[in-house]
Amino acid sequence: MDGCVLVVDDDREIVQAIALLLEKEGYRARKAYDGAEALEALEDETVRLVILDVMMPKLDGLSTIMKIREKRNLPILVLSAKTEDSDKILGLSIGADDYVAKPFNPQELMARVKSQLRRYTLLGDIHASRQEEEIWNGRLCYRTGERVLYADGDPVRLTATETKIVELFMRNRGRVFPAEEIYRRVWEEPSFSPENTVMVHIRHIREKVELNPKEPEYIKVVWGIGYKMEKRENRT
Amino acid sequence: MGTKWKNGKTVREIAAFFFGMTLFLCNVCPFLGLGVFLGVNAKGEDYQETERFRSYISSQLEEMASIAVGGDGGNGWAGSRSDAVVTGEADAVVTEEADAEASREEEGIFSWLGRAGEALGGEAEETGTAMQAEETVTDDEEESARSREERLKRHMDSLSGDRNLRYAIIRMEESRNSGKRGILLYTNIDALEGKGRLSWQGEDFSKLLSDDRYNFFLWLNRNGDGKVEIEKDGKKEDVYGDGVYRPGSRWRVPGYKNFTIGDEGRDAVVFLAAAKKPSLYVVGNYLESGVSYTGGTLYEMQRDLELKKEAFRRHGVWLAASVLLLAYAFCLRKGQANRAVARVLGNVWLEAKAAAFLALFPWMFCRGAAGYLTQVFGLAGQAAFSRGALDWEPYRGASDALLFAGSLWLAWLAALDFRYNRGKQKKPFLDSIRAKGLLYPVQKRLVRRYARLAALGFVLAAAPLLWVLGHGMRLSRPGMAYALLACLYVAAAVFGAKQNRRLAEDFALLSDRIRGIRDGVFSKPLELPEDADLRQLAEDLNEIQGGMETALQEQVRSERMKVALVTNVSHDIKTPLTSVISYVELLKQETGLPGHVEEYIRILGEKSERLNTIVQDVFEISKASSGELPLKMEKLDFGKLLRQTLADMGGQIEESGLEIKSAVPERPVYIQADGQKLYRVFQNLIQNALQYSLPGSRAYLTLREEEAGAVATLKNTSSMELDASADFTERFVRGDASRTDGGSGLGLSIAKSFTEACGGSFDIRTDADLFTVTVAFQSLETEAE
Repeated sequence: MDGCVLVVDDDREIVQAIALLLEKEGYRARKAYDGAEALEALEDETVRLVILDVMMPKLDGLSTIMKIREKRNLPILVLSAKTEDSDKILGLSIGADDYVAKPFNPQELMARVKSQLRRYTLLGDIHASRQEEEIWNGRLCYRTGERVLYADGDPVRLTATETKIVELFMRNRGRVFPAEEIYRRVWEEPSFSPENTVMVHIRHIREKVELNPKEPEYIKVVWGIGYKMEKRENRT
Repeated sequence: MGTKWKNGKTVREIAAFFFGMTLFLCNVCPFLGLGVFLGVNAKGEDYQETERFRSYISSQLEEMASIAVGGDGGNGWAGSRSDAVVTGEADAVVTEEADAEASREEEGIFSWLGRAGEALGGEAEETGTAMQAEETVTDDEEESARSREERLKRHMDSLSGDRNLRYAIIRMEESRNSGKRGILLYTNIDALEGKGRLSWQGEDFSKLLSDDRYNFFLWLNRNGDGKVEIEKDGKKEDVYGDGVYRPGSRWRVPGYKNFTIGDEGRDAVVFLAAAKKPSLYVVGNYLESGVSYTGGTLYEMQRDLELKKEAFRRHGVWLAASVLLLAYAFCLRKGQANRAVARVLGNVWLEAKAAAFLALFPWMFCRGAAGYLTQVFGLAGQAAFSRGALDWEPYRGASDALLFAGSLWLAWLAALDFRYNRGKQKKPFLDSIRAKGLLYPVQKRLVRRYARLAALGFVLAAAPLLWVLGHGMRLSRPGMAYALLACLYVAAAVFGAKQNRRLAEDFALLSDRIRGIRDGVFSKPLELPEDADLRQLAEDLNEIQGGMETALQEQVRSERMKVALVTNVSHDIKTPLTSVISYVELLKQETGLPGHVEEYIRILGEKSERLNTIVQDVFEISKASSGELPLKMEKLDFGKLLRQTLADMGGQIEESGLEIKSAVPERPVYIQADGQKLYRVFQNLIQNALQYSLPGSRAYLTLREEEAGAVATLKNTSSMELDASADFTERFVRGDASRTDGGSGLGLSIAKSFTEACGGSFDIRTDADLFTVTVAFQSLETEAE
């Protein structure tokens, strides 16, 4: 792969660890230890993705993101020890593409890196071959003609029931469905205590679709009400 | 009162307006009345131009003409009356004459002396009947004639003493040789007096009197034509006008076309002369009754005129002063005065105002208006005026005027009060002794107790009042003292009632504050006025509140610091933990390591994950317990949430081998909570059950709708012996103290914090090995979906 992944953190050991993990996955890593260094590195290297810590000396993560966004449209993945929702929202709204809380699961981090890079590189292809109806939601895309869900451009293998549920969700992003309704519309028969059945399928879908099934980003439970597909921004 | 009242301008305005208006009211009517009076009568100068003078002369003329022809003139001199002495009886004369006149008027044309005869006849008849009744056997005719002679003489004597009015009474008699000739019967003209019966052949007596002392001369029947001639200041006066007598004619003397002298009267000739400046003539008649005053009537007339002129000037000055004051008040006018007065009025009890107005106003107005207005308009409207006007006393007039003005002021105050204070009247006194509107029993008792005392006071005060009314307004000295004491008591009761009511109201404020502090509501300190009875109590209470507030703020601050500390610490732990986890992962990916090293790496991985969990949990719990947890409260179905949670954790439950029996109703049980947090609660509870339950046992999850609300219960049998004294929601407390298992020890603590943050109640009970957790929420009204 041309170019490299820029890893920025003031903790040298963490940068080192991430670099090693990346290299194991076959990516080349460029290291930087503060925002200013990161901006310099962006000038003299072909960077494909940035992994950035929020709390850094000299130029902090958020300012760095803004500086990068002035010129470049490459994916940015934010790392932060702050885990509150407000921090997440701030980071994403300022221009980050993904957000991973410290301490992160290294495998999850790698999955997210891959996802971002695939989207970044494959986007052109996907857009070029757009013929039939496509429903986009963040990194997910459902093609209604072939009834296939794509995640980061890769088709996800789903069972027939799972596909029906995904189609229902993709067509109604953001809407909350009680389990009874999902059962009625997918199985097309009345239900009695469908919670377990529906939940099992949703758990399976999550395992196939979500980067971290324990903290799902797309298929969410609205506790005491139902289930929904979170509506995500489509970055192109 | 406010600052506006203290404003000197307003005070000056009120004072100027009050005095100006009072002076104006008191003086305008007398001024106008006297002005009209003086203008109509005598042009204010000459007493001879007054109606009173003309009336007097007319009556004297009538009397003298009557004497001349042997009648008594109808003036009743034949009785005990002496005209020289000015008494109240003169009033009666005028009235009587006026009455007679009125009756004559009815007849239209009448004869003058005819009336005199009638009157005499009437009196004779009357005397006759009276005597008959007494059954006297005296020769009444003779007796009557003699006494009449005597009385006539005495009357003439008293008349002659009046040097202000000179007269000559002449009777024309038939003589044998030269036809008719006049015989001078009575006179008080110095030149003729004491000369016996002189005969008169048309001489003008006015020549005998000095011009500078006498300027008014009148002849009746001088030429035998039955007419009157008047000469004043050397000029003949037009007595008859168009020759028709009317009630309003200037002179009431015979000689009009419709007012002629009777046949007998044609023999009477009378001459009268009046002094220019009458003076008082006093004769010391010591033989009889002491001093006799003569000439009083004319003198009085002149004197009265002078007094009235003086009063007119005085009233004029006061009126001018009042107009100046009013102008001054008008210049100062800012519209504040009325409001200021109304404010003061507003502070007076309604009862007091009503009593003052209802009792004082009618009395003041009736007395004042009767005395003031009738007198003044009487003055102005007098053609033939009454003695009331003669006796016009400035001082009595002033007191009446003040009463009248006072009554108008009362009316004005009432109008002001009505205009500005309507609807915001000070509470009536009755309200201060009624428990109406009071909240706390202590207030009601306080007010009622006082009301009884006040009522007793009124009874005690009313008793002497009734007694006084019953005894013709008289009161003995001890009675007076008693009444005074009773009044004092009532006054004290009235003022005390206000204080008492305020005390009761302050009690309510104090009680409210105490209640507020009990409920943890800190409002601004209770400020009672300086003189309030409960001031000290209120201040103490304020201090207690202040102390509690400070303590609470301190607590909130320390809690916040704790959260900040935990947040910082957890951030600081997270960074090295990131490295640990990352390098463990790298180690795991190493191949060819010896088996025991891989085992070490696995342990490192597990423990670092657990450390991560603990840090997360500590962070969350510190936020939840400090109330800084962001909540998204919404209406949700509690039953569905439990089913979802069970479904979500289905995998874990299966793995654990524990069976969870759930009894959750299908129909919705709505509560208000944050679903995400409530999920964490049950997730933790179920995890707890999975972890600590006796293997192969069952856990029971039930949801019931009770009176208290929606109650979820999770029961499981502990695998270990439970310490009955342990508080399982304490942080880091576990069933066993060794802490060797995987949990953070915060699960139940988080569950409790989150439940309470969502407004629910969390309770743990242990019964032997049975571990029961109860989570209760207030259920919302179940609605159709």
